[in-house]
Amino acid sequence: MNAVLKRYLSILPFMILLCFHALGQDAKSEKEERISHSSVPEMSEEWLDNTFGALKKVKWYRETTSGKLSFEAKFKHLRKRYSVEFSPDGNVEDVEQLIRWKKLDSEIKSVLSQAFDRLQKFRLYKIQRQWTADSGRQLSQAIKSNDNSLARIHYEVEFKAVLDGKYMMWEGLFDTEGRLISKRPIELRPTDNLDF
Amino acid sequence: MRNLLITVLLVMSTPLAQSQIRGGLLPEVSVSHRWAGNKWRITGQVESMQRLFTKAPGESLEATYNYVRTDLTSVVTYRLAPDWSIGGGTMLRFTNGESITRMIQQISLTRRGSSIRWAHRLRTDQTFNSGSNLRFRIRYRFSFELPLNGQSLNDREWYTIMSIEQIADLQTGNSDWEQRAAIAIGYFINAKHKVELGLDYRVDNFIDGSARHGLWTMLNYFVNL
Repeated sequence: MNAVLKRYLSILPFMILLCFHALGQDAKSEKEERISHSSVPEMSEEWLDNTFGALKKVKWYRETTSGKLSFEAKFKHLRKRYSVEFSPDGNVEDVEQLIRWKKLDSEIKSVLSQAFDRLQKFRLYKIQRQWTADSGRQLSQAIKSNDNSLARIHYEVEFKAVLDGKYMMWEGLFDTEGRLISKRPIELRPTDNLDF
Repeated sequence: MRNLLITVLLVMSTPLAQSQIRGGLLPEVSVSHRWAGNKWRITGQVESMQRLFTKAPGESLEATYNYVRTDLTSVVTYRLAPDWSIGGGTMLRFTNGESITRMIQQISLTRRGSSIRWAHRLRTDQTFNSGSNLRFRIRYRFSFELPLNGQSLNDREWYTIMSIEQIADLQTGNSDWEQRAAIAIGYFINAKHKVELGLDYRVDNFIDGSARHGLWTMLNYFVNL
């Protein structure tokens, strides 16, 4: 028993060394953290109030992606989940609405279905309707009046499929014609603590 | 309210008094390496169980130190799809001066939501021990991980992980059913290193005997090379 205990104790310094080695490494370039609304540019809150009215609960996040800072508001409005991204100075960048596949208009559903059918081993996980416009005022008007002609509509889709010969998780931006405008692989964190 | 509390404590303490209880430390180090575009992964794991307290049926809790066992496990997994993987491996258990061999097979499904990650794992294993019949187990575990700050887990952030597991233990003339639940707080140092501290509760032998409860303090360190 003593021999095994000694062996066990002998790996403790190794574990401590690993901790210090890990702490000394650079942080990832992408970071997202929850913040209070008092840390958010005033203009962002005003834009939300003006566009969506008085919202009950808004969760704010600060995101840093490759050195680029942005603020994101997440909330529920009329039973739909929204996320709105703002630049550091408070200008709105895009509005995204989580939408169920079966709730999509039949026309866009048909267009996207054809696009998805072209992808090998495709499986849909999440779809969001995304609005962008040339100005915050125009985007606000498009949302309030539900007038899509005032905004550019895209669909941000999370899916698994074979793309560029790689079978993995992807986040893709599709336009209303079903064209895949941009895509990026979703890097999944190691699942060793969930698998073992 | 006070009477209700006393009643609940009495109801709970009666079966516990007749149960066997043990607990202590269950530290683990797990080192993984992925290759071929993360399709393949090999994991080596060292886990050691040390008893710090014990209670026999009808007796009181006693503080004691006993080395119980050390497990060396190695598992190779292959990712069938971004969220599905299969794997197999072996475990060598060193306990009471003898070594036990266990073969392991598993399939797991890992999914992610807007912030939570969850996994289903189905595992079968066969334990070979000289002088005993082959022991076959089938295990199902559901686990999930939740960041404690923000929606996604970033470097140097805390998270919590919980799991529940059902284990059917089949051995000629000695079958059992074990249940496990674990909860831990984790610190995600970076994509290569994370550490978890938590509690692992286990109960077995509760169908036709006096239940055996175990409460183990986990200290898990995960390395991805």
